[in-house]
Amino acid sequence: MNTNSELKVVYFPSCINRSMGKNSFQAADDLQLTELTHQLLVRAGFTIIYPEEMDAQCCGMPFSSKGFAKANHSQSNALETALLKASENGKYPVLYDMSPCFYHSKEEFSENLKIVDPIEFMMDYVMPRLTVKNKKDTVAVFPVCSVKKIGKMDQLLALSQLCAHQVTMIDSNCCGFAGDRGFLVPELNEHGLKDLKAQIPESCTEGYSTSRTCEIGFERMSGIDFKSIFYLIEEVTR
Amino acid sequence: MLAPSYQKLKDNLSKFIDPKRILDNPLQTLAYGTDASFYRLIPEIVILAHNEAEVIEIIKQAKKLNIALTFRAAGTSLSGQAITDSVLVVATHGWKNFELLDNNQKIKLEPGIVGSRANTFLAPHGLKIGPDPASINAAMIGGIVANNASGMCCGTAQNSYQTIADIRIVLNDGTVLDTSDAESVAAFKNSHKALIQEIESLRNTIKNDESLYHFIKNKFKIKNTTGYSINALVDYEDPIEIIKHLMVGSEGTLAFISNVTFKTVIDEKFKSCSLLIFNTIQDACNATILLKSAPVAAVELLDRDSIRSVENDPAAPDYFKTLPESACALLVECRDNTVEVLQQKQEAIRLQIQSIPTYTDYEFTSDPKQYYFNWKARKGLLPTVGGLRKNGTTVIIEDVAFPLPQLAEACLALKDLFKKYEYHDAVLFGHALEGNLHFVFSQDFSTQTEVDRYEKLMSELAILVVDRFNGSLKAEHGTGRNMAPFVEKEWGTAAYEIMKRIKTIFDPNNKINPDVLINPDPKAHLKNLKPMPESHAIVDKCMECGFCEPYCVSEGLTLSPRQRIVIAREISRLEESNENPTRLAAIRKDVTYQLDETCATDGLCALACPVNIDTGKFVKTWRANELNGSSKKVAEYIGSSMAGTTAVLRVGLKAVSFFHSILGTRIMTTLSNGIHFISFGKVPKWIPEMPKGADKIKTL
Ligand SMILES: Cc1cc2nc3c(=O)[nH]c(=O)nc-3n(C[C@H](O)[C@H](O)[C@H](O)COP(=O)(O)OP(=O)(O)OC[C@H]3O[C@@H](n4cnc5c(N)ncnc54)[C@H](O)[C@@H]3O)c2cc1C
Ligand code: SF4
Repeated sequence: MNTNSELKVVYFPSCINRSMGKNSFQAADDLQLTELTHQLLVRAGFTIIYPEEMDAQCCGMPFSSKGFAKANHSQSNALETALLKASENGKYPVLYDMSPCFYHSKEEFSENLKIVDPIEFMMDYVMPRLTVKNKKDTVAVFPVCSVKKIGKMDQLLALSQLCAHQVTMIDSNCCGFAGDRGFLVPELNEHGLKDLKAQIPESCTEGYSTSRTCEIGFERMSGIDFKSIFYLIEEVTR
Repeated sequence: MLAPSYQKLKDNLSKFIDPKRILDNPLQTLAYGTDASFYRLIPEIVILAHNEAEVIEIIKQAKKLNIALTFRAAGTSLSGQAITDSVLVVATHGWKNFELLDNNQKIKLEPGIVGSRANTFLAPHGLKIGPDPASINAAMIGGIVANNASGMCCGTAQNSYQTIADIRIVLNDGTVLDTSDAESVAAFKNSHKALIQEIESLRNTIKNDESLYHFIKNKFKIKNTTGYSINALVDYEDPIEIIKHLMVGSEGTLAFISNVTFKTVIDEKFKSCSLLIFNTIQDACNATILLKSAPVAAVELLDRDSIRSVENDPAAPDYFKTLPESACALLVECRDNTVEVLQQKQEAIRLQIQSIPTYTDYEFTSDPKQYYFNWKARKGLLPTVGGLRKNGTTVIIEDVAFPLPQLAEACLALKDLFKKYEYHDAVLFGHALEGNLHFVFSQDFSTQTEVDRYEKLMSELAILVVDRFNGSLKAEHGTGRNMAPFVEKEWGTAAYEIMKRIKTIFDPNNKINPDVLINPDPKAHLKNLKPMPESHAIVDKCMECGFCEPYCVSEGLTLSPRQRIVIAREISRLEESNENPTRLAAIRKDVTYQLDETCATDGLCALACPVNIDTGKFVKTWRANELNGSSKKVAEYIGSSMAGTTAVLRVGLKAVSFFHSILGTRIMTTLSNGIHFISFGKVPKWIPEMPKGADKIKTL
């Protein structure tokens, strides 16, 4: 295994992935996402740095989307400080495992840090160091809102096409799950994904994305397993 | 409270249509009633119709009760044709079916399909639909056909009128005519003999009046959407063909359109464009005349003020800032399926206009960056004016056309007119090849002096366009309420009488979108002006264009971004004026769920908004304002003790508790009352996808 010390990455597991584990859709032997990401990064030869006091860190988005501007800013500032420290003032890239958190930090942070969204990190840093051994037949992928906003739809498609022969890109606005909104106003999720089932090919039983809560919304409306694209990458490069 | 006849309509229709889709509360009627024009009427009832059977029932029941109906697609109309104070029938949700026919040579589309979506069905075959309004990412087939909308490339050759193959309509008596179905046509000819005869008689009247015949032919050589498409009566012999083509541009005043079949057109693979700067408008217009016979796909004119509005863009050439005041640009587009022919076309264009000097040399470009800048310069004009305007004013987009030989003179005359009435922010641009000019300016309608100024501008404009240049007062945006008072001026009595007869043939009781297109009120264009009160800095620049709607997840469930802004504006207006506390209370009653709770705040709307409004951001500030102090403190507490919270959760509590502990407003209130974490009972619906708590991450 490559333990080149210069190949370092700061991994910031989002609070959602830190607290939400697997659900009934996932296989019993699936790792939880944070662990899986750890393994994947190690496999690609990275040394992982975790930010200090990680359990206290959150990008602030859940507060912001609820209208708690002040709580958002203090959370975001604290995270920025922790990430600056962990990355030795921006020397190492910072991997986010949720696109919305990445997007939120991108908006909030000053520019000293090299924070990287899940798609770009996998495409540019991880895939070149791994070999795809068992490409999947067919998968569905969904570009969550923040992926659309940073214009990474094509990269998401390209990344998934490295891992599967047939990729169905789900055509929908937002999934309507919207953080916790899917729990509180489930009809928004139902409305947002009313055309979902028709889009998923019969043979496709797996869907991938880059936001945990959206994935829950997708599972709910499609009846198939939706999880982080990191799982897909981990599996085909295993 | 609904008036008795409307209540009756609602009751009767509730037997056929899900009552949840028959809306009469003040919030929803206002939200759905708003279109992109600067007019406002609030419907009594809004019906979200999902299929033709429902529309037939609505038409029949409304007829019985003598109630007027207005149909609606995406509501991006600019001339006041998609609004009503009676019943608005929204045919968008549902209406999404399409069918490729005759080996992709035709496509049948339902009215609720967004124009660009129709093009994505055709793109894999290298094809598209003909009409190409700038609003194609939001406007829907029903509105595109009913307005005969067009844009920079389709000209008068590929608009709906020219590319329509068939249409299916529901008439005012509930009868369906499907021109693609021989049986339907035969049955219709049999059941509606009088109607057919009337059409034939109109056709013959025109045929026998040589000067009228040629007048009509001539007027449609340039783009024209003033009044009905009476060229149908000179271009076609067969009454069914005439009806089909009359529906194009009828602005929902003759019948309901259930589907339309277009002949598809080729979408060329390779594109290049060039921004040609001329020394004067005259030179640019003379070049345009020469380009008419060159292999161009589009020729767009941008006046000096238009160029000024993009000169600070990083991609803009430096000399933009120092162009002489007299300068004028043409954006010339070239398209073909092979690169070789594309280059030949570019050369042909160069040769064609070599006699006219340009201010600088020019090259055609396919380089994405430069190509994009050129088009951004052109397409960004409306947003630029829209974004710069003073709050409380409306952006007005006028839409006239002139015979090409007079274009230069007309441009200058228009500019003098703006000066005369002190519209200093006006910019002039448009589809030069078609003689079609738009001018955009901001207008305040909140004082009588301003309304008077607008009135003077409009009457003088009518004289300029019609009497001086024999042009069209509306080239592509439809007559609506805006130009209805001027239709007779433009067309003269004989042609106007024909238009009035057309209306009577299809709608004898004047109950289908009344007051639009044909309106006896000479001041109709000055009535029912939309208020544009200030509400919140994030949304004050909203033009209510509706471009955001197709990108919104809650559109159709509750509100779209545009509708959220409309509601916020009305709340601000009512709070400010204290004009109607009951109405304010009624709107406020539903606003939390409609505006706030069902907004995903994902901000995708901002991607489509010409003035970059992120309505999600606005909703977040709305939320913040609505939160009371105590729950704010709870959020801050949870934020500061996050580690402890997550630890507790991971060990004992379910993830959902965590979620609600940091996210759920209602739950926070519970917390602040000293009660420990929430119960499942607070979650409206439990779902099996809910994950379990995660294991703590081992960081070593
Ligand atoms: C920023 C901006 C730019 C624009 N640019 C252009 C442009 O370049 N070219 C152009 O031509 N227009 C343009 N428009 C105007 C407008 O977008 C078009 O006229 C468009 O075609 C209207 O479509 P819609 O779906 O919004 O229809 P709506 O506004 O909902 O309705 C338009 C008309 O059609 C009728 N109608 C709708 N559905 C039906 C139906 N099923 N049966 C019968 N009648 C029906 C309505 O009653 C109404 O009279 C622009 C508008 C905006 C806001
Ligand atoms: S928010 Fe933007 S896109 Fe939506 S209606 Fe307003 S101006 Fe148009």
